[in-house]
Amino acid sequence: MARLKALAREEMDAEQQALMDEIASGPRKAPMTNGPGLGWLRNPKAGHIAQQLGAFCRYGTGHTDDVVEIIICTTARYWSQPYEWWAHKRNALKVNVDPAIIDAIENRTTPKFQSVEQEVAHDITKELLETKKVGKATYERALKTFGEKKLVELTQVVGYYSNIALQMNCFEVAPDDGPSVLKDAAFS
Amino acid sequence: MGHACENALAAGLTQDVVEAIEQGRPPLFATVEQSMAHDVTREILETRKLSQETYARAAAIFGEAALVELASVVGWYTSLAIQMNIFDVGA
Repeated sequence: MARLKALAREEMDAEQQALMDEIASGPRKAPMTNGPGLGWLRNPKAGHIAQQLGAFCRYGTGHTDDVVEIIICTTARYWSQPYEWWAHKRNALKVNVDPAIIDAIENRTTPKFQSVEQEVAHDITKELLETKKVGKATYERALKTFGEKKLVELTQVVGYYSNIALQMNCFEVAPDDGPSVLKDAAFS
Repeated sequence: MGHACENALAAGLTQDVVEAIEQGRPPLFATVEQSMAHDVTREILETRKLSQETYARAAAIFGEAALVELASVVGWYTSLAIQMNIFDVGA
């Protein structure tokens, strides 16, 4: 049970309802009453900006869907954020990421990736989050694989999903199934 | 700490507080709000979660809406810092 109470539609004011409608009319195709939406509803003006940035990170970069979901799952694992993990494990499987890769990320073992792009994206995300920097060899390999523009986009995805992961950890936001959907979640 | 440090001094924080944060010493804050904001921010970044005790103290001082905003500020600047660290962006 999150520290922020979920709001039923009839409990929302006009601005909160408009934010949920805006999210539902976009690429997510549904309102977001749990997850990062819990915080966005507390301040719909900020929520409006945040959800647009989120939609860009998820749907608007030059990366393929499987690479985006691997970046997000690696980020969710670092923060041990169960909602982010639950939502993006599901998305990763939908876009045909091998379930063994997702299990390896959850267990903090080295995954066997389906492509060089997946591997490079995972490795740079993990190094950036764990050491707060990126060594020259990792940087150059990523630059060669993705080019500068997509590498900037990769950092935007890591940054955005770190941003909402730490906010959700502040308020113990978990999926309806509870924080135990992720091993060693940040809270139980 | 380039810009944030300049802004902190312009907003009236003392040189001593800014230096203490830079050096990882406990700062002597002027208000309970400053102290609380610092403690919540450090705990969430260092432990990746927020204990019930810290959460309850912070909720009592700021209220729920301002605590959500605090988390948004931590999240946004963490996001920027991550992005700048990969490209070696200096002051």
